[in-house]
Amino acid sequence: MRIWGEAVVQLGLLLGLAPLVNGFIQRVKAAFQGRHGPSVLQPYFTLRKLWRRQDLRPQASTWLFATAPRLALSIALAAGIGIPLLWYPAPVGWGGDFIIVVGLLALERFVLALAALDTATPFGGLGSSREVTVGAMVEPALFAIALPWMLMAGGTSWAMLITASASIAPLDLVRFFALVAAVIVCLAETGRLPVDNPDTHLELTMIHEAMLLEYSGPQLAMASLAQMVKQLLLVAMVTDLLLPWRWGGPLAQVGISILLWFAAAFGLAVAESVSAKLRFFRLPAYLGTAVILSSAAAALQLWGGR
Amino acid sequence: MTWLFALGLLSYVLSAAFGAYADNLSAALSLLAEALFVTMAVAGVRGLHLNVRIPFGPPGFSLHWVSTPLGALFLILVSVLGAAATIYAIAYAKHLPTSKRRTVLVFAPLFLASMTLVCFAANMASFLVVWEAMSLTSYALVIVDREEPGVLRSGYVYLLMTHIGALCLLAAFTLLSNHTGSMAFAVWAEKAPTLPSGIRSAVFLLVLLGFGSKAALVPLHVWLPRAHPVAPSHISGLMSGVMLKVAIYGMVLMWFVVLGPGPLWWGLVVMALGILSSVLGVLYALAEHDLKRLLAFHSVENIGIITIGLGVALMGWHAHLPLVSIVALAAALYHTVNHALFKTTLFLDAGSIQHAGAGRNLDALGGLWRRMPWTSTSTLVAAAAIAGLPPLNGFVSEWLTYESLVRLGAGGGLVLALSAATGVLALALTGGLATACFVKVSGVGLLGRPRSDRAAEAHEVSGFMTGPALALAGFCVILGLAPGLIAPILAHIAGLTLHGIGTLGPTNAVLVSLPWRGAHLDPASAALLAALIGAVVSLALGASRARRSATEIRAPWACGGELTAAHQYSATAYAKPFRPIFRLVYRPVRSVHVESLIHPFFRVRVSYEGGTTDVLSRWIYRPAITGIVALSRQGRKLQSGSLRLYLALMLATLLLLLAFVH
Repeated sequence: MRIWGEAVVQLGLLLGLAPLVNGFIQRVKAAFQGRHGPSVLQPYFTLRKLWRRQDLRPQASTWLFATAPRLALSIALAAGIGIPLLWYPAPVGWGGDFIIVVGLLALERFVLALAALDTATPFGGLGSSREVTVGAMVEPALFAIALPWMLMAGGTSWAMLITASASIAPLDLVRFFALVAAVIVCLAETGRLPVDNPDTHLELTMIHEAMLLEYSGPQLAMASLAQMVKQLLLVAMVTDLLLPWRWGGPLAQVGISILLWFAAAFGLAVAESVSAKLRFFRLPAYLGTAVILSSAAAALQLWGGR
Repeated sequence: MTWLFALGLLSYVLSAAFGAYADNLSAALSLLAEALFVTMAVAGVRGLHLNVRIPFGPPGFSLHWVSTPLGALFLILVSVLGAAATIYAIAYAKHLPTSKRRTVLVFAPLFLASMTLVCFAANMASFLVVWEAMSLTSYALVIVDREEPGVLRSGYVYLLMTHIGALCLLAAFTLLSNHTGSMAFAVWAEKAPTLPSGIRSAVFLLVLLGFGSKAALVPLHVWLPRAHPVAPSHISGLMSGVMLKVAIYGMVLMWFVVLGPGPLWWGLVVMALGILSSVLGVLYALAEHDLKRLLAFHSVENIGIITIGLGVALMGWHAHLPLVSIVALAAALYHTVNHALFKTTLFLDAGSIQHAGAGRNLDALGGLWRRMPWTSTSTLVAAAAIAGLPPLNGFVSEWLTYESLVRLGAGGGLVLALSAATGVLALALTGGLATACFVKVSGVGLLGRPRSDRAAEAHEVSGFMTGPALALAGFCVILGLAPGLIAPILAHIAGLTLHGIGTLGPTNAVLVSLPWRGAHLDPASAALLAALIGAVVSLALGASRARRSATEIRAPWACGGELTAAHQYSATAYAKPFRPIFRLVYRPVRSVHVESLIHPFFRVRVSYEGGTTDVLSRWIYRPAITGIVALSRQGRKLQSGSLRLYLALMLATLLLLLAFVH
């Protein structure tokens, strides 16, 4: 029973905070561009506006198009339950696992990419094809970030990974390498510069937005919310893995976690602001950097550890 | 048990005999045989064992059939998938011309019977005889459409590769029987671990080549993308889903049951080949737009994943990490079962789509979701399963493989850790690429608008064809949601197979370590959770929609123009980004040819041709073939027509052999 209670609280936290984190990133970016920018609450207003609008559906589409945003949101939330957000560090026996979270994120991508092809439009195909290309390279990079801790712990559950991460020095070179890799992966996976640009609808550059181009109304609201939840998830995963220290009672720990998320979101916004869009075919080199850095981190860990 | 066995075989033979005259009777007999063998496998678990010995050939030789737990697992695969294919063929074979239908209906039961017998073979003679029968019957099925261009050539490549493999097996088995003085596998298993390491390694490599060519490991996979597309679809399904698995059975049997723990490099070689196969297999599949060729390349990928598991098991055994070995072998067996299920489903569906008149070129499909709902459903489920997505079975076995890799890496030693890290990254890349590829297959193939008139006129096929595919897709869901159903059995079989692995205690101790035990978020609860959340979200949506107008169907955004089916992404375009990215593998070639009235003005026609280069055949097979042809040319000089020279040669051979024997 307690597990289900925790799950509900965690879901609420994810759903509630995801738009705020997005608004925060927008605000930081605006500051970098010398603008005042919209309020940090703008994503909530946008979602509310969309929720009240009418749904449109392209002619050739099937039920897959209509259900994909719902599915994507549900899958992202289900993945959110698999990550230790609350009650940190993970209590003994907490069985959430890194691999199932990565698997669920891949499933979400699968569903949205299919729905994009369901529209029978060139934009859908374009976005879908690019998204799965990025996805195919992000997946090993995601694994690579966790690799040093996986090899240390000999397992893939969050409890093991976090314990392993906490067991090495805070300023270890391993952590630094993994952190740089994590920033690269997060930028790619959340559809941000230099991989994708969330603020544009130019067909030459858009990836994720092209997949969602035919969505409107509540459907679009859910698809965007799913993306925001996924963004928060990634931020939480990275802070869990790389900055695993929490102090004080349960409430203080949750507070520290949330502070760390915003710090990480700030970092993402800065990284996005200072980078220029990369040519699509340069992406493998960019994501490859992440893989190589985290492999180097893993190798360092192995050399140091034995 | 003996009676069951004999009756089952008799049914297969009768089914083949009636195949030429009475289709339905033949199918019924095949199904009876499959049911009997499933019963036998289940009874085997309950402790009933088969042990049949038939004297055969020269004195001392005999055919010996024994049931083992490992064999029972593969027996179930052969029989269940055989049953699915048999039911499918009832409707599928109807449209074939009479002569071809007879070939298919006569050889398919024999093919199934020989695969069944491989699972029982207990000595060298019985194994090699049915192994050969399996190769020959499948060859006959591959060349059913022999008057079509290219089919005989594909069949020839298959026959050649399979016989190179059989030759290696014969060599390995001869080595073993010479050094142990027996032909029985049981005796080998007893004595092989104490043989000199040179012999053991030679046997190991020969087995790797022999079964590797049948299982289609890179670079021995060349026959697979040729043979599978030309065979009738349910036969492709059986070959890909079952026959490749029989080769995996052979590897497990020879490496784990017979040879026992070996040096570290065995595991490294196997794992390296597995990684190579999985990554190259999925990359080649991605570049393919012929549905059946694409699926064939995915078999290479999945065999690669299975082989990674086998490699980990070998390494773990070497490094005295019993738990790693058992988890890895269980993962490999799990993936074997899974691949058999989803790959057969996909091949059956590809056959249905072809049967419905839409062809198998992905660029000419599309819009089938509305026209062929059942076929599309099973395709989508199997596609998600093969892409390794939760909550389906492919995810579970890949998870187990990750688990074994990570445990191996933590086990100790830099070599183990580095190979584990490489394995994890390769598996992740394979997973990502497979997801991309199956979005392409189901998105371009089933969704959107029909890309050709044939696809627009496609119709759903008969229930005999959709039924088996849906049933197998259902198994994919069940084995994904409830891994606890078969994982303990597989771990048990793995423990029995890795004989003498050490003091592990009861097998249940192993199961506690499997990831979903003690995990709150196992695939099943994740799925349940997603469904619950989805229901809540849908309710909320329904509530909001009740206040607003209903969904409106509109023309999509087309920049002000009118969209046609040709505006959609084609399968080739979809995979285009991967071509420059992985140009090292693909070696893409393109040529643009412009015809103009006055060069370079007034263009009349622009033709574009793009493609990839088969690097492996250029680097490995082309030189090998050239070398063999050159050698044969030299050898031809011996055939001068001179009787004296021939006699001299015979004498020389005799003397050489005598010298060799002494």
